[in-house]
Amino acid sequence: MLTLLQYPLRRTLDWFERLFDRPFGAKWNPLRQPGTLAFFFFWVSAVTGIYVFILFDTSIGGAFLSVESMTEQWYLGGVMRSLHRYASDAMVLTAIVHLAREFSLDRYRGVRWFSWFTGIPVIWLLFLSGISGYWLVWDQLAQYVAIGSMEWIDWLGIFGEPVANNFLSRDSLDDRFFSLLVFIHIFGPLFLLFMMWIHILRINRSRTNPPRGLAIGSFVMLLALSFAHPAVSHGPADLGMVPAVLNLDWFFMALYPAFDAWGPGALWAIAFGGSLFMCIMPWLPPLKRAPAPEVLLEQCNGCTRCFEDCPYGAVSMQPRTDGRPFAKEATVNADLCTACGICVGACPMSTPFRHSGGLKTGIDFQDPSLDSVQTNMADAMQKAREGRNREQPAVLVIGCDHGADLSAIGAGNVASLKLSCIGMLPPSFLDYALAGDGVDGVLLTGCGDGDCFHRFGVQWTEDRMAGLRDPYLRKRVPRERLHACWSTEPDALAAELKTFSDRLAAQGEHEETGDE
Amino acid sequence: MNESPNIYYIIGPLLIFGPLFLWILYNLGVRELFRIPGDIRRQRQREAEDANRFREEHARKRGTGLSGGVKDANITPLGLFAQAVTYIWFAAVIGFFAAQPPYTYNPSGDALLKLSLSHPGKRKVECRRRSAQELAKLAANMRAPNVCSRERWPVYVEIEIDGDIVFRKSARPNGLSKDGPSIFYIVRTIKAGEHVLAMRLRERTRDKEGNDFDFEKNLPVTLKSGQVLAVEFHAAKGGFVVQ
Repeated sequence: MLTLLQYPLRRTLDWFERLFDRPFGAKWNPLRQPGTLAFFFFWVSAVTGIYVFILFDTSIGGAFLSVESMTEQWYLGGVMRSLHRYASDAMVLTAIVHLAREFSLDRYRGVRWFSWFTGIPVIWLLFLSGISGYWLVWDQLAQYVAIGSMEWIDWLGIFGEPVANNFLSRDSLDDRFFSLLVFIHIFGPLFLLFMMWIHILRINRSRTNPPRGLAIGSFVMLLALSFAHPAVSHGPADLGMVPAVLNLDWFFMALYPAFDAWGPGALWAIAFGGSLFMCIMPWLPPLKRAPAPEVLLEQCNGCTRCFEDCPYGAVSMQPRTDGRPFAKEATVNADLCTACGICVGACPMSTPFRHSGGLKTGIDFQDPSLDSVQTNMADAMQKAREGRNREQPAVLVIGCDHGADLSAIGAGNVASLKLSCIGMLPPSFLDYALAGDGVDGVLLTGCGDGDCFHRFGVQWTEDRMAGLRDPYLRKRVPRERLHACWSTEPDALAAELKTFSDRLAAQGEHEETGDE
Repeated sequence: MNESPNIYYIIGPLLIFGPLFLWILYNLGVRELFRIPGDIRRQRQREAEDANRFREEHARKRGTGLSGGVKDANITPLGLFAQAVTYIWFAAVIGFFAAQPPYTYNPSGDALLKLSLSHPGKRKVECRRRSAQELAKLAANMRAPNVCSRERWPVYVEIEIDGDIVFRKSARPNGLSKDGPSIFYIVRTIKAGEHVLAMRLRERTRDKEGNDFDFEKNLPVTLKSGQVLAVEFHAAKGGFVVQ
């Protein structure tokens, strides 16, 4: 059921992501950075909120007037208020995209349950923070939202008397209760920040800042919007009258018309039921849990490369237990491991040139082991060699589980090999593929433009090839026979493969086989 | 609203947060827009040359990277223009849905009757005074003169508008021992205009004679379109109180 939803959602988001790659490039594409953008918009909201709070009168009689006088100062106070509102709206928007994206990418199961699970209170706190901010303006919208919120909470019957009583008539609301609303709007965002910190706690090398170019662009966008279309209030609240027409902020208030139509019970069922369902989503079938790799101590010298490269902090270095003359040994925490295999690609022992009686490396899966990967690679190379001719050099395409579909590629002079993540590929395997009677070229492919399913697989691979990260590709490997195409689009991969193949043919480095 | 704000309320935040904002903007890259002092420019030039030398040396020793690969940010004039257009689109989405489309909460212009009521029903068993013998049997600190049951009757409320019953409900007392007040929060729409409103409350079980309401109020009301008629209940003030 969920899988049926995931596929079209992924296709849609993928289409938009690639569309936005054109103007922005992958690194600045806001659709590829919704999580970091949500953090950024939180900070813009927080800083502008502090400013707005200084000018805000926390009394019931002065709140509306102070916000109005702030808004009249269009060049500063008004802009600050507008920035505060629009940044919080943008945070909701980016949080929704972030949630949809992680769901569509299936990045909420297995060991990733923690971030998904802790994201749910983040959503609640985000709405509490936003809605409580609207109360403080104390205009007709605030009146509508405050009464609706209180009636919704009162349905639970957890308070001795209805909280909505405070909004019953013109004389019901006092400064003391209004101060409580102010405190809610201060402590709500503080708890939100705390939960956002918990949300990313388990993520190794978590990024909470967008790239500078994207941050500047987003801030300028908000600033321009604040000048061009400043946030304004409705008329002052009047508890003796029912507000008639309201300009709802749909980012925060989309559920309030549902409350009016269906009542508090139905809305609680939607909100609580929806949250509960999202809480259990990581454990719903189909459960996917690949076994974690094991450390083979006889091959491990404690070099820490697997520890450095693991995107999930699943590898840690512990004191040596086997008496060999090394200070540390790697250990894998299976509860944090997604079985991406990046650690296998990072191990300097993962080299096909030194095997005798099977390839043994320092950290490896039971199935598929690196030895079986090498065997598959040798078979694929053989297949490509058999199909090559003068115009069509032998090309090995190495891809991953989350990149473009490789099933349509393996024909004639082209053979393919699939890994769990491109980061699982030890650079020495490329040396092996291109050395001697190997293939004429190797094309690496994987997740779309640096947006690796396993976070750092593409980045680490590029860095290893460029010699910026250990283990690096040896200098003797001819770079002109290597190419990368980071795209999930089969057509884009086919086009790159054709270009690369033509380039290799033009280089004339391949040899004609006897089969021709 | 028309009173101009105290100048210190403007200058204070400006002095505190102005530099903070400028610092944030500066560090986000605004500094690149300004002319850089000569010595810093020369230092950066030296650093760039060092970095280039390092890259060349690195490439010489370890070879170059892959062809293809992750594309960098698009900072060509056309790319920046296209980004600006995309940002305008984002801004339009945010700006529009922040206030549009308008929502009509009360399309018919009806008035609202709001009744909030928190009132304890009578005790199920009336209090009785302890006899002297009973008191003598108790420890000195336990000699309360009255014995009362904790449990109370549910409270029943009925609202009638122009002879039609629009609300009737019995609410159980709050609390695990059913010893708290019964609570009502009632919202009903009423057409604007003149009406006769009747509200009744019973705080005990219905008696056999039919005189079963402890509090009752009948009153004519004239309601404007969109008006909120708030009614509270204070037993000490005689029952229903129209605000």
